[in-house]
Amino acid sequence: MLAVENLKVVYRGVILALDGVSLEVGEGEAVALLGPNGAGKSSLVRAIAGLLPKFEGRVLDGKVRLFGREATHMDPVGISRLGLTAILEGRPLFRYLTPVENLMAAGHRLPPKALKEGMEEVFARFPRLYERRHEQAGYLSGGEQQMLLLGMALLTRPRLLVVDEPSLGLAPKLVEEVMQTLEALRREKGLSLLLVEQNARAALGIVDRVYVLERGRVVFEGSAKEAMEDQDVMEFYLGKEEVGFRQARRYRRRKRWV
Amino acid sequence: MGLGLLWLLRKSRYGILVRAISEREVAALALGIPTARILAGVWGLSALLATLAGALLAVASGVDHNLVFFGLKVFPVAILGGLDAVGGALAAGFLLGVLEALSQRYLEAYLPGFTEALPFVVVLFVLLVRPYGLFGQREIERV
Repeated sequence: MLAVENLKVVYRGVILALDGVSLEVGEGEAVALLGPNGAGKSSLVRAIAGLLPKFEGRVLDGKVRLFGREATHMDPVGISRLGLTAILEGRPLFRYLTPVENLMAAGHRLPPKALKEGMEEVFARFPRLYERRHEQAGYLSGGEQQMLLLGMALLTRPRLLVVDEPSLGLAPKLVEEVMQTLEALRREKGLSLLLVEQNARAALGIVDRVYVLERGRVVFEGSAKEAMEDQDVMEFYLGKEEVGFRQARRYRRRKRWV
Repeated sequence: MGLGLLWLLRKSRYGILVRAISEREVAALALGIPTARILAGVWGLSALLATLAGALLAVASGVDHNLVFFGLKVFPVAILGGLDAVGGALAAGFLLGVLEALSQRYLEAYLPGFTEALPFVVVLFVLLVRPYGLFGQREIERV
């Protein structure tokens, strides 16, 4: 479905963000991409969605294949048509438009009837949005904005959904709710999911497989179960640190990784 | 025609896309909205409207070297209404027209030449109170 091979990404010609990343998401699969700040997670999302040129970046080497098609240098519109929708980090909705208008913008490819039905479906799923459907989206709460974004993504009729840090700035309870919603959507629509997160604990609950990215490289790859059993992943991303020789241990492990 | 434009931008599906792109182009691209094509359409439409307005103006008042001053007056209208508000430009144009006519009739005797400056004075004061223009969009701030 999605296959990234040995991808190298640079910004402004010199800043190396991804240094040979390979990753796969199979049909109907949910995969988490974890990693600390600056690891290159968002760069990978941009590269997959064809949005690197908008961030002064480009693919230096490697390939992105989408649904069996070569998509490395495809434009965002073409990629979206193939069936990939990426929700970028930072709540990328249209703040001056109302939820209704946001949904209309997202469903721009749908014929009027399908758009109307799609919107009704979204509002049925998120009643809070329906109550506030004519207010400017910028005034919605963080959780409501995240739900609106998921609704918008649905109206693009994706086969593969990429979500970049949906938990950012949300209360733990809302994070849980967002994750449950993603899980439910995946089940109902038969979507594939690539979930990019710093909040490993939240993400691990709903995915099949995990990649951990650090400084532009994949440093761990395995099933969600394996990730939870792995000492390093647990320590660095789930905050389960041992007391005592912490610093020394951290250094030793880190060395083994890189 | 102004009202038609207003409808196009506020209510039609096309107008919603235009406003979406103008607010956040990258987000629009990520949703697969063909931004390049729509922006080209907007530029084309604005060129068309400007040409039309120019032709109408030429018919109404002729073309001479004083045309520059007319161009200058357009700025206060756009700014007063709010740069992002089509309806605002309509209302502001009307308002400034009326103010100018009144000043021509009643103020010119005491302050000769003041009418020329009036639009700019009005803009100055309005911007003090509403920096986004009379009908412009307020910056969304959340605490």
